[in-house]
Amino acid sequence: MKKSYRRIVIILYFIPLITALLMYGISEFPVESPTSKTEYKIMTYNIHFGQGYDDKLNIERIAQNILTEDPDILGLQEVDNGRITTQGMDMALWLSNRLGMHYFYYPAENEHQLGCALLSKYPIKSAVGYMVPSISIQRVLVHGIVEISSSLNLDVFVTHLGLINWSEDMTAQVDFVLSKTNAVSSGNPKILMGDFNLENDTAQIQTIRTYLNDTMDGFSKGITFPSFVGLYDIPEESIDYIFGTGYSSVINSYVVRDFIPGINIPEEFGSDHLPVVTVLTYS
Amino acid sequence: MANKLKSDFSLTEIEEKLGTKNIIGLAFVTICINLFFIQALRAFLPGVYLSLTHVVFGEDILVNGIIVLALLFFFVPGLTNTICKKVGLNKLMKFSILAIIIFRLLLAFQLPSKLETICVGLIIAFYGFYISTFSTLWLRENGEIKSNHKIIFITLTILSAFLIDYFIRALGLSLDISLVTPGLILDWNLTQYFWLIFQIPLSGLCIYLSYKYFPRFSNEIKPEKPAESEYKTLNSLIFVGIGMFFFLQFSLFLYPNVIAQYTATSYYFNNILNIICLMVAICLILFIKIEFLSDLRFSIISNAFMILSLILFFFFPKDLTYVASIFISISLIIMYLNFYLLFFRMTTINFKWENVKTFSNALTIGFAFMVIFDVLHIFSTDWAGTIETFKGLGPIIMLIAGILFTISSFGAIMLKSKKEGSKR
Repeated sequence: MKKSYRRIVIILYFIPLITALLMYGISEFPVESPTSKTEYKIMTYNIHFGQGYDDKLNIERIAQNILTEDPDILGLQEVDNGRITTQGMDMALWLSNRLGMHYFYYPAENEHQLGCALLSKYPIKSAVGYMVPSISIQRVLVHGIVEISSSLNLDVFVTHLGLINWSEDMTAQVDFVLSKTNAVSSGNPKILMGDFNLENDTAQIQTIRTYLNDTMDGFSKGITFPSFVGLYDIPEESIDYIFGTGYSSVINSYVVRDFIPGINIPEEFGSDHLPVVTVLTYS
Repeated sequence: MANKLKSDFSLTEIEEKLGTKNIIGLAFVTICINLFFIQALRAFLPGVYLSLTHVVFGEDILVNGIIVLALLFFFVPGLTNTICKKVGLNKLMKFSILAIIIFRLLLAFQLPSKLETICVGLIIAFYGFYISTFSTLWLRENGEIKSNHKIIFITLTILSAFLIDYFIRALGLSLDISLVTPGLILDWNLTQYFWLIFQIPLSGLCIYLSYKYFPRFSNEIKPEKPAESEYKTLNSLIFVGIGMFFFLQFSLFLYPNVIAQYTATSYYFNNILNIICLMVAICLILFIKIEFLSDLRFSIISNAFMILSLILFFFFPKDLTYVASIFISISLIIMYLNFYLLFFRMTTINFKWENVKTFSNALTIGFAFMVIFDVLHIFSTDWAGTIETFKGLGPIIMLIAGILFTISSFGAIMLKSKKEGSKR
């Protein structure tokens, strides 16, 4: 083989390795946190493993759905890592890079699948995951301490509870989640968010309300599932929530329904759920 | 000692026999086809799985049921021999190449999800035709090139495709960027077709090279050797091993992000390490004699190490962290070498069939085992709640696959020794 061809083959052979090294270098750039402010946007979003209402797997679309609101703290449910049914990608890692956020991911099954993730523009000081007692599919709870500033830390919990019609013991799951949120004695403001698979009038949601405020109170609560409602469809459920304590005020709370203004097509929805957003102030 | 180990494989030798342009054309097209197959395999199961979920929840049962039936594409390669008898080997190979290129191009048009699943299913089916016919023709013809060298060439093109796949996923931070639309909201009607900028010239080049520089093969089917049916179990084991290789790779070991998640180590570290391991495997195949790699003692030691690594990886990942991740990365080299060995042995199996039937049956049986293990593994995840027996069984299923893979590689070695014994 000619020397020049041989050189080309060797260079091509090393390109994947060089790329991996470069990507490692890029990852070492620090995530820039915004300077501390008074209003913080919190979002919870069940991303349905990146599979949209049109059944297409597209994590970039999820990123763009999130970026329409550009939250400071983000709780994600149905996040996969390396599962054959979601093309093997690491969704939390990918989204954290795409959105320029810190992250913590905790899987429920087989050490890498079906998890919840906490993403934050501010550093996550520490984070831990818990297995929520589950009869059917295993569920998890993520607890992270987000360092907004030297004087303000937030205890943030993200969860995704089971399904009543899959014989799940919802009361046991809610009790477990509350046992963890109540066990925190740091005095930091708390946020509990996620897909609870429970309607507002259920006893379990009322139990949560005795400890934490639903940030949607006083605002118009919209459906969060399914994301796309066609002309003849009936809106179904409102099962995603952001609860909190220790904040000064709720500036706004809403369900994000429109990602491409003026257009309502299945392709605009990255997931079968809609994200819930709340804007909170802390003194 | 070094000379005893060193393989006499030389690309220059093949280049001299075929011509520079031909070898470049051949390598380029075969690597691309293998890469398209890897991407199709990755994109196929999510589509089928989602349709299966819709069926379970009673949504659009008819349409989604049809998509679930697309799993049958895995078994279409079993028809290779029958089709070859009608149209000839060379024609089927060329048609398969063209079909794979066109269906891969169609994916860049962002088809609706169900059509996309059918499209990638067709790529898998045609890849079965392609690899069976191409391997048969490539090994049978061009007699001036040693058959060992031809097998090394095929293996290298497959592993090179894996290396390119690593490159694409390294760029996409674990995501195969070629399978997603780069934009949606801003001008998404236009940006969703972004990959066509690359896919159209690539497809054009592949078609041109496959017609201009691919070696000229005959259409004839001829049995290579008389019937050999005495080692049926060992032969079948080899086919199972091929399936286990694909299962282990696509369910876990192709993804450094999973290794990182299991062992609580850095994704970037594992990505770099896994690429290096694949490069080492390529070098070993290039420079070390198959006789050494298929030595029983070497194989027992290396496979024992692989099984040990799997046990450590699945049962003590968080205690061993980087040790577990390094062990499993070294095991990747062993997996690639086992795959090479299995492929090598497969080329020597004739049964009472033609060689093309050996390859197509191997792929069909391999795919069948891969699908069975995939389903078992999926049951251990989402549906572990529905069928409780499966809860937490994921690592056990992986370990069983690893053991089957090891046994099949021993089978390949034993087949060789038995054949040598019977010759004496």
